[in-house]
Amino acid sequence: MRKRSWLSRNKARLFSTVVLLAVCFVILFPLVWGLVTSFRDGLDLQGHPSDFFPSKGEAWTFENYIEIFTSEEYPVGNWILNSFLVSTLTTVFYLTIISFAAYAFVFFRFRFRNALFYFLLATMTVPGIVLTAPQFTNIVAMDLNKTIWGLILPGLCGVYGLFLVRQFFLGIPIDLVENARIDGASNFTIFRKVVLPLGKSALLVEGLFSFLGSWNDLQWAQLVLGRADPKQWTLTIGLAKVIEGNQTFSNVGIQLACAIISMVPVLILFLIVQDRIVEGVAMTGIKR
Amino acid sequence: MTGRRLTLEEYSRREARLTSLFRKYGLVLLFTLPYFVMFGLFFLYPFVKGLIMSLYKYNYANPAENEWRGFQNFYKILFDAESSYFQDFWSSLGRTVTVNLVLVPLCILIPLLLAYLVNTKPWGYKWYRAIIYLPGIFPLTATGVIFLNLFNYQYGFVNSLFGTDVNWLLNPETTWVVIVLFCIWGGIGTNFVIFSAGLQGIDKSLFEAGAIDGANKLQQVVCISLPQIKNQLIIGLFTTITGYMNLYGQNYILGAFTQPQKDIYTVIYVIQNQLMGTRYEVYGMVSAMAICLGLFIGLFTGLQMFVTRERKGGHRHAKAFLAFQKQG
Repeated sequence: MRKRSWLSRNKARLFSTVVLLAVCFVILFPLVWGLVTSFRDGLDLQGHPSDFFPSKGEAWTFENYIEIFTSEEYPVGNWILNSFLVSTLTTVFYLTIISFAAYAFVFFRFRFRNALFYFLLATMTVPGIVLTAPQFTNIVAMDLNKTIWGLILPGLCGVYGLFLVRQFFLGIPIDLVENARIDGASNFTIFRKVVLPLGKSALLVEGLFSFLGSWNDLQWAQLVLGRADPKQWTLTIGLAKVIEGNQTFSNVGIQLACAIISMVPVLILFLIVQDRIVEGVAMTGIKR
Repeated sequence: MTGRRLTLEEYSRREARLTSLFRKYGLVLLFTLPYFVMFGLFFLYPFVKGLIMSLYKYNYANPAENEWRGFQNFYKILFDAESSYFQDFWSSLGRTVTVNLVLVPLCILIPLLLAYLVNTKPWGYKWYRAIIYLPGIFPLTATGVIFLNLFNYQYGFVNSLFGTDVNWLLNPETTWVVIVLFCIWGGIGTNFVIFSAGLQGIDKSLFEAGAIDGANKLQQVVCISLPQIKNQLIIGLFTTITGYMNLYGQNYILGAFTQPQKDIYTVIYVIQNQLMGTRYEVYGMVSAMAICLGLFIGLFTGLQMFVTRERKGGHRHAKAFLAFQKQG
């Protein structure tokens, strides 16, 4: 009797749980398959394609990883380093300049402040592709083609991050800032001691977006670095080239090992700040 | 004597105002300059330059060859049936729009349904949020490689799992199926998180009031939940449309072996191919094509904004009631 009432009370929850577990299974399945197969011998995969796991113990192998880290053809070590450099520098520079600009837009009064900001917002409707060709000639003219600066600098003009951080700064009580001013604190001190600590979570979220965005970028990176020396490529370009060159079954493992390596850093980052990033995405939906 | 004091006071006041003006605007400049320099250099300048380029036959390797074309580039792309640019643009735009018609509803409805389910607080709901968001954080190339191999004809797991015998990534039609599946798999996370946060934020008393008025579950969803998360739905729709009108990476990875390859080209793919090639004299044409695509995206998002705009004057029943009252 009691059990039945529990069931009827929790029918909706039970149903949701079952459906969501199924969805999560479907979502995780390709990732797990990729992970397992990256440790699998290519011949074994071809012989037993319907087995999820390697068919015998000997078919488990580290060969794929050893090969990509030792081969001349795929300087994966360099790619990882380049990707890290590009993503980290982009994130640090972008956060710095937008937090200063957002501070000015929120706590300074100046003429055309709002008009200027709305103008910036309006430019967000321009699709990035319109800029691609002239931006590229621009980069070539500045002699930044085939350098990582050609990837970093164009990434610093985004309006979205400024918007996000400004929205968050708007939520900081103005009294705090005014009090600090009366106590004789300079704007730099207020910025450093009051606003930044309070705006930490917005900066964290925006930093993550920025890092992921440049880590995952393919289109622009291909243009700027695609024709450069393979040692200068980022992981995404390298991976795209690995696919082009390896369409035989014996190289499946190599492709997948490469893919897994480029996923591990973002996965670690995601696991550390998973709660924050999901909340941050949710926040971007509400605050408009 | 007094006159002198006045001038002194005035002088010091003006001086103070000047320095404070300088300090105020100097600081504003100091704080905003780095951003505006970047914005000017890497947004405004290329934006204006792109508009100008599109009116030229523009050769970036040899600017001496640049030739004024007026609107000929645009004419060629949009109306000249003989031109290969015309064919490339319209056929790729057709494909892009078609895939949007399939993808956008799915990428709104599936996350909405999942968000609704998560909102009933099933066991472990925090984990589902993280897992559904997970594929979106990885590089497209990496997850694309996994799908490429999962759907491989010789050793892919999908064919043996479902007992099918399809060479998924060779035919354009089946490649498109894989692309759509891949986009849904990797792309619903953001909308899902936004929608579920929206649903969570709805005031519970609205549902109680609805229940008292005798609304059933479906009526509650349609008349309370959906209007309450309207803003989130609009944002989701906007980002989804703009995102998939710019579809490129998915096709580039998953279409690597499709024959004929032209059949999986989106507009961005066509543009990117021109840019990656070695023909430097096409830059004007490419800019024009990008602007055409931009205008179409603007058209679609504008249409979306128009349809979902805030309606003034309220519901038609309310209006009818007001008119009825006026009549006395």
